[in-house]
Amino acid sequence: MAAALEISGLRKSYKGFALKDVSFAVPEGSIMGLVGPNGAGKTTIVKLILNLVRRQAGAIKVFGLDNLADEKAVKNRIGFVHETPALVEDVPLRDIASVVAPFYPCWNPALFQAMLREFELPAGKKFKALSHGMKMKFSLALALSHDADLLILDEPTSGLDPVFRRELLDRLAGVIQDGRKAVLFSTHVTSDLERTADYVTLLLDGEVVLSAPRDDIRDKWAVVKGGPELLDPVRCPLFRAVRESPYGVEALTGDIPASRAAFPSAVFDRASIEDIMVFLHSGASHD
Amino acid sequence: MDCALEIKDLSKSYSPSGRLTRPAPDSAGSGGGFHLNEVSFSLPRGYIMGLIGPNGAGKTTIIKLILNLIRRDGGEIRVLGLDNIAGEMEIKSRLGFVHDTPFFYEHLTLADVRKTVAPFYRDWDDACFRRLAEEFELPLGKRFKTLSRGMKMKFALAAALSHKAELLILDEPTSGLDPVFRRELLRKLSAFIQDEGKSVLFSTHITSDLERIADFITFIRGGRIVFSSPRDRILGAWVVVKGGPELLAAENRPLFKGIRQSACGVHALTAEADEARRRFGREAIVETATLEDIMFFMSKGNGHA
Amino acid sequence: MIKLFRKDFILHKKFVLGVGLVYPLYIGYMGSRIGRTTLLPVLCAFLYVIVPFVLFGREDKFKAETFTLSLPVTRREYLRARFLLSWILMLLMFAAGSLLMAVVPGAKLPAATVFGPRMVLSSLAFIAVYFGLLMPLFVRFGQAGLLVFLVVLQVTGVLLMVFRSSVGIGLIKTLFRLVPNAVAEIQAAFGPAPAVFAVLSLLALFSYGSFSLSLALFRRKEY
Repeated sequence: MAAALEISGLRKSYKGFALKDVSFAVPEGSIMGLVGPNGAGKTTIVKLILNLVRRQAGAIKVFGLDNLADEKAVKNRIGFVHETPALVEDVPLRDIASVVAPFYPCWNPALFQAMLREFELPAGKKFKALSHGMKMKFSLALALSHDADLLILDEPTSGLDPVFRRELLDRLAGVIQDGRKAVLFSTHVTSDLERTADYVTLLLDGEVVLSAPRDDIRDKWAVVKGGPELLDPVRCPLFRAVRESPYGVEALTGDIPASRAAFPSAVFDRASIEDIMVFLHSGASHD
Repeated sequence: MDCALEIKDLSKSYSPSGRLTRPAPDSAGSGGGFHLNEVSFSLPRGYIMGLIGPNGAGKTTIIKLILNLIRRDGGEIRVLGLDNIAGEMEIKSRLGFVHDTPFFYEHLTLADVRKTVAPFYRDWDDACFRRLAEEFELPLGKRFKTLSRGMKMKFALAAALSHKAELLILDEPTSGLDPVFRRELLRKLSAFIQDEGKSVLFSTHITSDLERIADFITFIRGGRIVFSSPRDRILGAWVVVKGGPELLAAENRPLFKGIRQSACGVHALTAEADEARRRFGREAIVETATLEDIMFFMSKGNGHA
Repeated sequence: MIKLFRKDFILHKKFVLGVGLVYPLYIGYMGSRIGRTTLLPVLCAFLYVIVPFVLFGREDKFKAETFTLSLPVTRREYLRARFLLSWILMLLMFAAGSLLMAVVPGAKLPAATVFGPRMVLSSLAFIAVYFGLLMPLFVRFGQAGLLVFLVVLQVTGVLLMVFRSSVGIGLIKTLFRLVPNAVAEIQAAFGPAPAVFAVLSLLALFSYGSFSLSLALFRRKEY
C-alpha cells in the first residue's frame, strides 16, 4: 500500500525538548491519530510537515515528494487546520476565502459555499466575531474546499462539544472513502481515536513509542491486574510499565498471549489508548 | 436532603445584540438571542455533578450566575443553604472556582498571586497551599503567563483547595489538557470529595471523564434542562438501537428521542432500555448509550420531529 | 505574485485606503513647509518607509503568518511579494507626496526643485537605504526589532544633541549627507544622464543585497 505521508528519522531540538528520530507512515485511504501528552512533539511534527519550522535531520515525503524540495506541489495536496486558527481578525469570512482560493488550482467555490451553509457560517461575519468552535469549522471548510489528498489537523476537536466532534470525525471518515486520500490528526480526546482512527501513533517526550493499526493495539495490549507476583523480576520484562497501589499491582503489556502464559491467574482488561498513554508516561517519568 | 447547590427556576436572557460575556455561541436558542429557561437542579453534599451540553447551551451562564458575576432575571440559587446574593460574602469564602480560562494577573509570579488572593479568604491555610504546591510541582517563582494550561489549572485548583472550599465549581477544567494530566486531575477531584461531604460541579465537553467520576449528570440544551439524574440511572436506561428502516414505523416513533439515518441503516436513541429490548431485541442491536451518544442524537436536526 | 498582493490588499483594505488617502496629504502639507533641500528627503523618505512595515506588522500582530505560510507558497515568493509591494506603495506615496508639496499654496520650494534630479534621486536613495536596512531587521525580530532600532536611533540622536558635542553633530550631519553627497559626486563625475543610471543601479544592487539577507533570515524563521 502506498504511503500518503512518510516520515523517517525526523529530528528537531529546541531548548529542553527534542524530537528523536521520529518515523511513521500514513497509508493512503487511512486515518492516523497522533496522541501524546502536552509537549510530546505533536504540533512540532505538523509544523515540520508544513515547513513552518526547520528540520535538523530526516525526511518527510508526501505522496512520494519531499516536502522541502517540492514545497508548493506538496502544499497543494495538503489541507491543514492549525490548533489555534489565526487570521487577520477584522475581515469578513468571504474576503478570507477570496484570499485563499487563488493559491489552490483545484479550489471548488461551490463546495465551499455548500460547506459554509452546512456549518451555519455567515460569509459576511468577521473572523474575530466567531467562537472557537466556529473558527475551527471555518478552517475546516477552507481545508476541505480544494480537494486536498492529505488532511493534517492539529487538535481539531479541542474545546469543541461532543456533537460537533462527532460530526467532524464522521466527515473525516467520509474523506478517506475513495481509498486514495488520507488524514493525520492530533488529539487529546482519545475516545475520538477509538471511534475513527485506523492507525495510532503515540508520542512520549519526542519519541514514537507506538505506531500501529488501532485494531492491533486493541488485540495485543492489556492492563494486567493481580498481586505482588506481577513484580517477579524474571517474568517482569513482559510488562511495559507497572503500577503498585494499596489494592494490588497493575501492569501494562503489549503481548497478551505471552503474559497470559506467564500469569494465568491475573485479570486481563483490554487497554484503552488512554490507559497505554497514562501507563507509559508514568513509567517513563519514574526512570 | 442537604444540598451543596440548589437551583430553582433560574432564568436569564440575553438580547441578540446585547451579549455581555461571550461571542455568539454555536447553537444558541432562536434568532441569535439566548434564554436560560427556568432551570432547576440540585447537587447533594458529598457528590460530583457533571454539567454537559453543546456550545452555547448555557453552561457557563449558569456558573456565572452562581458566582453572581451576571444578574439573574428570575429564580433562586442556594449555595450551601444560603441565597447566593444575600449571602454572597459567606458563600464565596466557602466555595472554590476554576474558570474556563484562569484569569489571574498574568504578569505576576505564582508566589505573588498567592499573596494577592490569600487575604480574601478567612480560612486560607498556607501550610496546605505549600503542601499542594509541592505535590502539584508548581514553580512558585515563575510568572503566571509562562505556565502551560495544565499548570494554570493546577494552580487554580491548589488555590481553591487551600481555603477549605466546601463546593468546587469548575468550568471546563479539562479542556485542552492531555489525558495523563486529565486523569490526575480527576483523581484529585475524587480525593477531594472523599472527606467531609465536599462537593464538585464541573462542566466539560469530554464526556468520558464524567463516565469515570461523576455521580450526577445534568444535561442542558438550548437553555433548558434535558435531564438531571444519577449517572448510573442514565447509563442504564439509555440505549442506542441499531437496525433497518423498520425502526422508523410510526408506532415506534414516540419511543425515540433521536434518530440518525445513514447508508448503513437506522440508529435511534431511547431512554427506555427495557421497552426497546422487548420490541427490537430480536431483529436489531441494542447497545448501552454513552453520554456522547445521548448528546449527539439529541442535538439539533436529529430529533424525531 | 498577484495572489500575494491581492491577499494584502483584501486583508488590509481599509488600512491601505485610509493611509493611501490621508498620509500623502499629511506629508505633502508638512513637506511644503520645509524649505531645506537636505532635510526634506531625509524626513519624507522615512515617513514613506514606515507604511509597509505597519502593514506587515498587522499580519505579525494577528499571528496570521502560520496560516499564510501553510498555503502553497514558498518563502522566496512570499518575501519577494513583500519587497515589491513595499516598493510600489512607497513609490506611489512618494509621487503623490511630492506632487502635493509642489502645489500646496505657500509651498516653500518650487516644483522644479521638488522634481529636480537631485531631490528625486536623494529621496529614492534614502528610501532604498532605510528600507534595505529595516527589512532584514523586521524579518528577523518582527515589530519589536523595528521599535528597538528606532528607539536606539532616537536616543543616540538626543544624547548627541544634549551634549552638543561638535563631533557628534558633525557625525550626524556627515551620515545624513553621505547619501546626497554621493549622489552629487556621481552626478559630477558622470554628467546628468549616466548619473541617474548609475545611482539607480547602485540602489538596485543595495536592495538586492538586502533582499538576499532578508531571505536567508526568513528561511531560518520558525512559527
